[in-house]
Amino acid sequence: MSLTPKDAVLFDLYTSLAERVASGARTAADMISGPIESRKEMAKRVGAIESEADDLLGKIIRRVDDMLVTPYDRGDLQELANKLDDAIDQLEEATDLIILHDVKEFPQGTVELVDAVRRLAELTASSMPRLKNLKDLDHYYAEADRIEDEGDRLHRRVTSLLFSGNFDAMTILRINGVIDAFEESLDEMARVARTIRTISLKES
Amino acid sequence: MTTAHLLVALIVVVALVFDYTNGFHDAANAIATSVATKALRAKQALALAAIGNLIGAFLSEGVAKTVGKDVIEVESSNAGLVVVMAGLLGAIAWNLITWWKGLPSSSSHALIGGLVGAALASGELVKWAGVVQKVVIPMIISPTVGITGAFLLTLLLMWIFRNAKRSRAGKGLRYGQIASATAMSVGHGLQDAQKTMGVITLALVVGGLHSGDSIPVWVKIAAALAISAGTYVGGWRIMRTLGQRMVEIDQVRGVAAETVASTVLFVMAIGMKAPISTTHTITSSIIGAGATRGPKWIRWKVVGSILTAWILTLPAAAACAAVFYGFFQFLGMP
Repeated sequence: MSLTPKDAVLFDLYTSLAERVASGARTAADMISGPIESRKEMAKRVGAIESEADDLLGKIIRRVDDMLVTPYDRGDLQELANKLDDAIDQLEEATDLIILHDVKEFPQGTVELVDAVRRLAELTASSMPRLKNLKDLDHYYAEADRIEDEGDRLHRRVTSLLFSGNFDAMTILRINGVIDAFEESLDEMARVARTIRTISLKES
Repeated sequence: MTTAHLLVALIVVVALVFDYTNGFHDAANAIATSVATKALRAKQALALAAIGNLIGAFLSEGVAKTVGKDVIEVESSNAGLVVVMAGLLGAIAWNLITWWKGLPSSSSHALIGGLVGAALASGELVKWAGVVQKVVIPMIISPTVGITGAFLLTLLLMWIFRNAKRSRAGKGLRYGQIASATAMSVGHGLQDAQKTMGVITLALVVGGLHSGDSIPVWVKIAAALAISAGTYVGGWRIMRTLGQRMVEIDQVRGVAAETVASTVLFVMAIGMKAPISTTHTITSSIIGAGATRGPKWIRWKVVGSILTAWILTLPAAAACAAVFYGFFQFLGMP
């Protein structure tokens, strides 16, 4: 029970949006580790999830903008939704580029990088219901930080393998765009955690 | 023209200047939130505040009578006029010192402190019962009610408007804010213009130019005009720093704070005839409204400055007034 009103519908929308990011990340992880024939289908699925996320983002932005009494700072709430949407946008970019550039093979470590994306996305989705009360989030901040660090290291390793001379120039360009987009998605999710932390610091 | 006439004339002028600077200083209080939340443009808000001051000044006489006869009792003589003069100058001196040093203060408290200090120094009678009942107690009650009242009203409004849409309720709330800002300005005039009226009437009675406890009409008009002129002129200066001074205050909190503050000002002025600090009342209400976001949003610095002003202003202004009185004695004045 909280002192000030907390709009249940709004918090459900955030959780739904975070779940879209998680299901997009799961699909991307399956796509990278799964058979090449099913990749086109998987990328299409990520695209569909991304447009669902866009609808949710629109709903959140309109709702927050029109609320007379917002549970938290209006700007922080908008930012949070935008960052979640940015995360799924990057996933959609990565998976679409794989199909467009017809990338068949990835340097070693790419599967782990995308798996880090999946883990952070699932963590974000499972933590989002706690946005309402802002309680027990310390583990989430720490874990998000840790996974982002891990992802950054993996990204650097994959990049160095990519530039090691075993790939031709065109392949390097194609693959680089894909892994950069995965890494960006990870960064956006880390920003989600930081925004929630900002909200929590302001309100506690 | 006798010495008494000269002294009364001086007191009237000094009191009106005090009144003008009070308007000048406090103009932002009433309208700050409506300008900050863009319910009103600065120029409209200032005009509204000046008119509100003017109306408030004519609304009641309770505070003026308290200041005029319940704080000190001086005999009708030139010596008595010197006491009133020393009290007024003591209050102004303390206001200037606090302004110069950046110390928290309240002109209302300074005025009472000055009168008490001058009376003590001269051996005239201080009506302690009146001072405690009509000044000290209300002085403690008003910010306390301001904080808790605004806190509770904000919560209530938040729950009432929890599903309200800005697109629809925003307009209504804007009118609510204009109404509460107007009420604040009226409350300001009601409180602060009357303090000046009280001092001037006190001087008139002591100088033997007026009897009874009614407030002469010209005194009301002069005090009302002085404060609203101060408000209109001073607001422009203060408005510029407004952006930095105001913490994030949204419409709901603005309305809650102003409603509670103006209610306190009205009840104290009309009901209890008590002179209270308008600055403390509005700032404490803003603190209460902000506190609904959590303890972090209480501006402890402001709370501290109100407490300091409580403890400091009465004795310090009294001391200043006593110094002035001693100086006048040294000069050989009666």
